[in-house]
Amino acid sequence: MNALVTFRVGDTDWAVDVDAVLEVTTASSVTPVPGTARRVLGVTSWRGRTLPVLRLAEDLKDCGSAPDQRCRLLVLRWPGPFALRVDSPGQIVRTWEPLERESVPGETEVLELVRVEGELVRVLDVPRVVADPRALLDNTGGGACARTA
Amino acid sequence: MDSFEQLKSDFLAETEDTLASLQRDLDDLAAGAKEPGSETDRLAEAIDRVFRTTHSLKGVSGMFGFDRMSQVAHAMENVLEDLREERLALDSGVCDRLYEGHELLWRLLGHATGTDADPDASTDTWLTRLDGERRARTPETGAPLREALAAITMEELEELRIAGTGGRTIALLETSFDDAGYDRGRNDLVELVEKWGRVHATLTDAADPDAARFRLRILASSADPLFGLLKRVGPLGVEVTTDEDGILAAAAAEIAGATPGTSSEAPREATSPPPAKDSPAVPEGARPVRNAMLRVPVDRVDRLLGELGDLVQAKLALQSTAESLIRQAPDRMTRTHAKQSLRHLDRKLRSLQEGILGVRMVTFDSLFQKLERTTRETCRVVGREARLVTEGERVEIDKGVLDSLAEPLVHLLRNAIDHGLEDPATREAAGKPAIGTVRVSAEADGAWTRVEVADDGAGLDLDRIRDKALRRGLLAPDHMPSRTELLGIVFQPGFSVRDETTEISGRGVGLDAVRDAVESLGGRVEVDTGAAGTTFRLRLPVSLAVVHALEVRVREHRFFLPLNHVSEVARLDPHAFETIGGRELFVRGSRGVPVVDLGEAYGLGLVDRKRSHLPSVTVNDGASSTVLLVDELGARREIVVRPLSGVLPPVPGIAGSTELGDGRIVLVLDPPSRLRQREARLEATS
Repeated sequence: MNALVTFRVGDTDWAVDVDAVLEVTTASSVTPVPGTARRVLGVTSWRGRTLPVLRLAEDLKDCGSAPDQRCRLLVLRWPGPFALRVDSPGQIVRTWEPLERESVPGETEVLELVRVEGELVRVLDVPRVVADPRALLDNTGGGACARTA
Repeated sequence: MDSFEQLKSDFLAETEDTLASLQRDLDDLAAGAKEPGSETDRLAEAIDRVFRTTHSLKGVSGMFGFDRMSQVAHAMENVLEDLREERLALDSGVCDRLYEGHELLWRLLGHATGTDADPDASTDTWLTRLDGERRARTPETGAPLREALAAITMEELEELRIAGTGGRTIALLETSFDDAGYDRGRNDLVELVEKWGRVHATLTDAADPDAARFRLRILASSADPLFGLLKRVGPLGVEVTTDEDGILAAAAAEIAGATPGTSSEAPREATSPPPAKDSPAVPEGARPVRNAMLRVPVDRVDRLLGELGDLVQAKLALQSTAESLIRQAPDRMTRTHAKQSLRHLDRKLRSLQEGILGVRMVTFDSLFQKLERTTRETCRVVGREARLVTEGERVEIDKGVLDSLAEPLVHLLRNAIDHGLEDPATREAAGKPAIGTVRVSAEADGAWTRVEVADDGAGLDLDRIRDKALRRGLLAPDHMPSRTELLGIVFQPGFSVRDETTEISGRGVGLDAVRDAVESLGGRVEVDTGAAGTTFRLRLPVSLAVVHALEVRVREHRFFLPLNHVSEVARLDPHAFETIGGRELFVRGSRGVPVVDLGEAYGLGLVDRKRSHLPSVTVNDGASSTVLLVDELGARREIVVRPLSGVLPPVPGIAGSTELGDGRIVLVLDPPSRLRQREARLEATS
């Protein structure tokens, strides 16, 4: 059986393997962390831990928009828990049939495309999102808090 | 966790103590090896202790499936057995082998607990080497017995093994007969042997095919002395070999290990009787022992500490509301009672906090033992002798601080042995003992712990440091640096006084990494040097979990600054600021202290300067001070610091985070590291 959690970032539909998801939650506040890259939205408190909140590259395209203080998060388990800001978490899709899959060369965060209920959605390649932890730091020397949440 | 997994986890935790105690016993052995005339009884006791420890470790680790650990312990046990039986003389080479085995056991334990890489290849190399050495010293007289044991059936071998463990004498008889006399000769001999004891196996093969002679071998056992057998068969020219070297036990274990369904790596216990049917499946060594100590996983204590932090924050929120209500209370009695209740709650919370923090406290003992291993390994690699002296083993410090301190101390120790100490000839020429000493000490100092790594070497060559710094552009050619400045250069990334790279110094970890590690703990490191040697002094907080901090606001952001960085909090008149050489300084008397806008340093935008007096915090990194401008100074508070967990790498300038009562996260800053990064960036762009 295939089980995916779907979600939307901007105008794009995404999905992630259900086993990678620890929780779908709403953060009451996200604290920005100076010295981190733009894709690090900040940190939030989750189950007694301080958890980094990341954005997908897709989410960074509109540079001017700052996310709301309260934002929807998918807490993912690999390789250590981190949260992904999403616009709207969707649903859990379960199918017994093999999914129709297509590869997507060039998009680093996309594992493949699958057809869910007739629509093509991008399946998130979770390890690739945080493949290089150093890329989460701001190496330009500039601040990262102009985007204050 | 099921009960087996729990026992396994207990075993791994207990093995740390076992290896720590093994180290002390090995040290006793090593001391005995250096003094051949030392007390024989004491040495024998040390050999016995190490034998018992390795024997027990072999059995229990094998039972839990840690086969490599079991193999290493078994190999060490063999060495100890040879020492006990005087087949092997105790010398420094033997001690080195045992120390190597001990180090491997630590690494295998680290691998089992997920903190170390698998030392697989090293284990194989070591085991092969020990096996070869043991074979070389085992008298060949055992070969006929070994050969015969390899030729009999498993059932016969098992019978013999049981006979051997039951204390019966095992004997191999060997003779030969020609074709015509074989049957009669064989029957007569077996009959004779059966008068002495029991025949377990007979083996016949062609001793000399050309001469048509056949060899007969008989394996027998008896509760009677060997003399009775020799009296009967000696006149017949029969050769008799007895099992004096434990060959039967070894063969039984080896053959059983190669049998499918049994472990090939964890040898069967030849000396243990088969377990009774109703006995539990847990070996004695693994059975939980009721004592006054309780092992608690660190993360469980940390969760408790996190809960306590939440409780403290909730109390702060409650206190604020309660104080407001108290002020409105109509009578003094109610006000007094409410205030007393708040104070009582405060005291109890503090006591609880101290109690939980106390659980996290560990002594330096285990770290110092690691340093002893590091010393031996480093000396072996650089081919030099050195003496390690440790002081303050019982000084207590938070486990997190101690764990993070291990790598910096190992680095400083290696540096001291490889770079600090001179060769014996140079030392003797300077009137020093030929063997250099490195002293590592820990001393409690209130909320701080002072750690020193001091060598009695030649000291740092300041001229050489100046030359190298000039060549690398770390100093302006016309600048005459002070002694403090020169010593500070050794902590610059990639800086080394030495030109060549050795196995020890070429590990990619410099003194800058030591400084970063110490500062990330909220500590400081400084160095002093002279003709009597070099001393690195580290100052570390006793606990990381709770720190005293000052709340500040920069634009819309709130932060905490740990008070150990803060030397002064003030509102400064901006007229006292001057710009000299492009840098803004706060001038007080003849001294100028650099002024940095904390908002600008962290990329948050500039603080508001349109005020008559600017809120400021002066921070000190041990070498220099900086005035940080902020928008607002807040309260001093005791906060529970959490790391930024998950996938984020360490962020320069951020020490961690704390959670407020309303669930918001506030970052705890580490300004010195951010200022250094900013300084490097400014220099790169200028």
